[in-house]
Amino acid sequence: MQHTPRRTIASIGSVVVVALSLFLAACGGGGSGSSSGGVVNLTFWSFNQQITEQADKFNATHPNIHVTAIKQPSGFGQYYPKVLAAIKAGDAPDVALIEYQYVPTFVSKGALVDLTPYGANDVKSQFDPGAWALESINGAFYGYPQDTGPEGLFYNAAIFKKAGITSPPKTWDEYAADAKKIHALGKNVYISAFSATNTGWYQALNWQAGANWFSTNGNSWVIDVNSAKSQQVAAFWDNLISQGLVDTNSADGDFQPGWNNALDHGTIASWISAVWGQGVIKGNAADTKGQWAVAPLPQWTAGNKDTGAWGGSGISVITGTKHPKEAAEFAQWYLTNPDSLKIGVNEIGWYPSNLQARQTALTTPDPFFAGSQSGGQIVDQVFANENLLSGWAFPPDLDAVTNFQGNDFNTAITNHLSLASQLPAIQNQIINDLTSQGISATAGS
Amino acid sequence: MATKTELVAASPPAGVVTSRAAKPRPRISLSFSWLWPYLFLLPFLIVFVAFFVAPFAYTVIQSFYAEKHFGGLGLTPPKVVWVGFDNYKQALSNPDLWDGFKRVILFGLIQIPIMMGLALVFALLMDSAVTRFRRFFRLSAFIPYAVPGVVAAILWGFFYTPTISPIAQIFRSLNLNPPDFLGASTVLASIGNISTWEFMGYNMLIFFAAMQAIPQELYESARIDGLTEVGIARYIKVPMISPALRLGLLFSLIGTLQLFNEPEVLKGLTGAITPTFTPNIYAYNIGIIQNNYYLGGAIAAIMGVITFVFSFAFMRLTQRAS
Amino acid sequence: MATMPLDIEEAVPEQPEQSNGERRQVLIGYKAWAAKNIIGLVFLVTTTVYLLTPLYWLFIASTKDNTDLFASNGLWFAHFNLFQNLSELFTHQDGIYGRWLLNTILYAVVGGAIGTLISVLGGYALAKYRFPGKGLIVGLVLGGALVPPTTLAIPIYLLESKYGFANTYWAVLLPAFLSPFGVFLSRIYATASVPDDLIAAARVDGASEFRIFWSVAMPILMPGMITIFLFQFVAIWNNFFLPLIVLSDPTLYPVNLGLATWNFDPASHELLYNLIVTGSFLAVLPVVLLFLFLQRYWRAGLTFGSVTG
Repeated sequence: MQHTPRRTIASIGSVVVVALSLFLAACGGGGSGSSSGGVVNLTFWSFNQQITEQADKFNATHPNIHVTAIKQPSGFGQYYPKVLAAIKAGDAPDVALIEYQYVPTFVSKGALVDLTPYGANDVKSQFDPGAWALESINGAFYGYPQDTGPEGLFYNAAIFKKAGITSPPKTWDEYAADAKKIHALGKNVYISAFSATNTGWYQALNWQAGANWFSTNGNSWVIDVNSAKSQQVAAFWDNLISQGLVDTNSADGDFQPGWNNALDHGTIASWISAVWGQGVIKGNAADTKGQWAVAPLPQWTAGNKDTGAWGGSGISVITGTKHPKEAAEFAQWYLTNPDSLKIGVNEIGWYPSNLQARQTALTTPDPFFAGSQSGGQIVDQVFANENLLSGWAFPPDLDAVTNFQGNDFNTAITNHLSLASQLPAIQNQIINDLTSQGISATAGS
Repeated sequence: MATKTELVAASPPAGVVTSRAAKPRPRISLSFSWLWPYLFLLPFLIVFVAFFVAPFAYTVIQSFYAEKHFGGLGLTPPKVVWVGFDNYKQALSNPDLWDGFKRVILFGLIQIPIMMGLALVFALLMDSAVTRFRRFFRLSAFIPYAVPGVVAAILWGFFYTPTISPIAQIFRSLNLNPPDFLGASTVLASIGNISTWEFMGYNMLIFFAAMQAIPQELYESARIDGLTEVGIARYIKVPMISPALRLGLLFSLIGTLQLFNEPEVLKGLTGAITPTFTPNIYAYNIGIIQNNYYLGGAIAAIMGVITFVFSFAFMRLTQRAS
Repeated sequence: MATMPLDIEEAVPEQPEQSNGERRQVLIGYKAWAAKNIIGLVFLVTTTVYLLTPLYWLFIASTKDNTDLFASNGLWFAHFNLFQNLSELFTHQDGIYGRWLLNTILYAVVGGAIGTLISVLGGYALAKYRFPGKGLIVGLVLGGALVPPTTLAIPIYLLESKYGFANTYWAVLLPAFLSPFGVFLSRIYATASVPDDLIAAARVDGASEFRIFWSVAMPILMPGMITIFLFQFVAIWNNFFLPLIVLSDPTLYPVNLGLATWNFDPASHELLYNLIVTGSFLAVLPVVLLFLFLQRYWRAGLTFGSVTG
């Protein structure tokens, strides 16, 4: 059967006609709502699916404001480039989730609205002061804290037991000793992966050690990546890395398939991570249900409860909104209204920064984490008992810092150099980057 | 054959053509026909101006500006100021950019010939030697190209990660040390493998389509002249499809200079892929991730110029050769 | 059919296409033919295994749950979870995956068809006419390929936003009409296969230039157009970065972007690898079907293609 060109054209043509009519139909249906009858329309972006439920509740009780909540992609290189491009185009959402570490970066682009004039301080007492501090810069306040990410230690108690370890490490010295015992179980068994590219967890360890990398002194940033305390943290990991006691293979680094597999197979025995990490462990290591437990972060000084934070987000109002008052109202409602918080805690899984809501999160034991206690631990309680240190701040050029740190640490590991030897270079790169943008920055040490 | 009648229906029979061609052509149709090529090109030019020229011009203009703060903590909105060639100076003085160019050129020198060679052999075999399952072969060559990037990332992560790779499993079951696909010295070859896997079939289809357009009469006369199949491939097919070959090579060259997706896919798996691994990754990290459209624009413009130089040189060289 | 029943793989008879190879088989002895072809066949089979193994992996992976995906042998089945994955895929987030699939078909079919037509019109003009400015246009078209597309995404978005069609179907569709590669390719095809005599004859016959293009040149160019359409279709099908920047409403996403947004998301406490893999496998299928459908037309119209100097 020979097909003629005519018939080819005809059949392709009919496909196009069908597709075009579908297209036009779809276009007709997809129009965005216009403001009508004095209703203020707001757009809200976040990573979480359930935000539409929360917005529905807000809309039901606020007849004059209509919030459209849209879940955005959260992957690296997806969300923030998109938000910043939208701001540049004048197309930005009125309200958006911004993680704490990005707040100064966004402020330095003039992208966030100071919420102090909109009654932010009226609700200050409801929030975790550590989280509130991360949103407060130079007397202005840039977003209501949604959830906080204090770090702790998730560990597979069954493997720890097999290595002869009966209780989780309380100090970093114990952690190092345990690392040795666990590696003795097999040449592919490690206490942890050392993920050089994921910079956040490592910064939180410096936060815990009181090595505040970024701070301000009057009208200038003080960049202190090379301080004695920071060197101490680096030297600790250099020791483990040089003995081969942690898995430095990037393919086994946090969130990679090799890492998922290692957690599930018990060849990586623990993870230093934030409170939100519990969901990750449960998803990745489903086969080891019941073996896991959570402990406070190991300490530099025995008996302390200090920790730093990895991640955590706030809800900010974006510059350029036509309705800053209503946007601020929604942001405040979103993190103070009990119904909204309930969805956040129960469905999204926040470890909320709103203190009252946090109490409700501290009630149920999780049978997945039954490694140290039959019936399971109340995971959030372990984190709630920690002391999130104050004094840490994030830099106004976070992505550059991430780039410098990730790249220099990677280079060090590839070339068998110490992390400690990279710190002066990282510090200089950050200072140069800031000064090249016309921002004052000096070296801390 | 139905196709023949189509042809006949669309144009007058040969005899009629010659008889009419003998008559003087109506002048009028020639005098306004100068407009037609422009009309034909108009839709393309409109889209081209809207979605290439305008955005590119914008990028180039941006590359002469920068966002600056004026002292202090930088917590107030920055000003966009004219900085002349500062962004260009900054990019050009970064040795990482040049290392990136050297890396992609080395990559291209090895990967392009391998991929194009395979594609050409594949197309030649499909065109003459193997008739059974031809459609199946053609389809299988095409499929990798159709696999979306997000899947390619998961897929190659799976194949290259030492602990879960089925290839490493085979090595271990033979008591051999599995290869390290992600080491500093091997990662470029691993990227080359992904590119070859993805684009070999694509080029093969271009070559194959071009071969199909070669008139059969040429083969018949070649056979009468005693040419073997290899001879036909060497002296007829390859020269006849040389425009397609050149085009395929040209676009592979450009694609290599803009190498981005494949290393980006592996970035999380290995420290060997740095933020400046290729010029395009560098441009992306500066322009998109670090949100510096200005410096990113300068890097893009530099890439454009260097790609132009290479493309131009390639066209000149191959033109002389053919 | 004149084919001798001597092919190495006889198990599944396929309706063979006409080719030089077949004719030759009759001419030369079987043994000589087989010896020559075994090398070729081995090459094709090896290469095909290389090309298809990852797809095979994708299929196997789509039958697994999240645990087996990483824990079991990647090249063989574990607990068969395909139907569970499929039902989850089409119900997750109110079944938005189906919407993404339809969007993508829309983007790729409309964008591909119009993009191909625009490219072929342009390529034909560049191949068959002499006119002032031609060299400049050829240079410009090449210039269109010199700049990495990711660097243009944000300026394109700013432009679309300015003219009010960011975050609409048009935002993805209109840029998809542009294919400098398609123009080049169709220029080559038109040069090689549309005889000048034929155009001249049609002109003498009084046909307008557009009618010559439409009724004389286009049927001849059909195989080339199909190639261009296919490439353009796939390019749109796999487009990621531009839709990410220009679309903010997930209901407008193409499937590739949608699946990427499901890729690991610590904030959502969800591990959706099984859905991503199954969704990807499913998203490759329409492209494969299209390919199967289009390749029937590949040879049509080729018989009267002849090369002009």
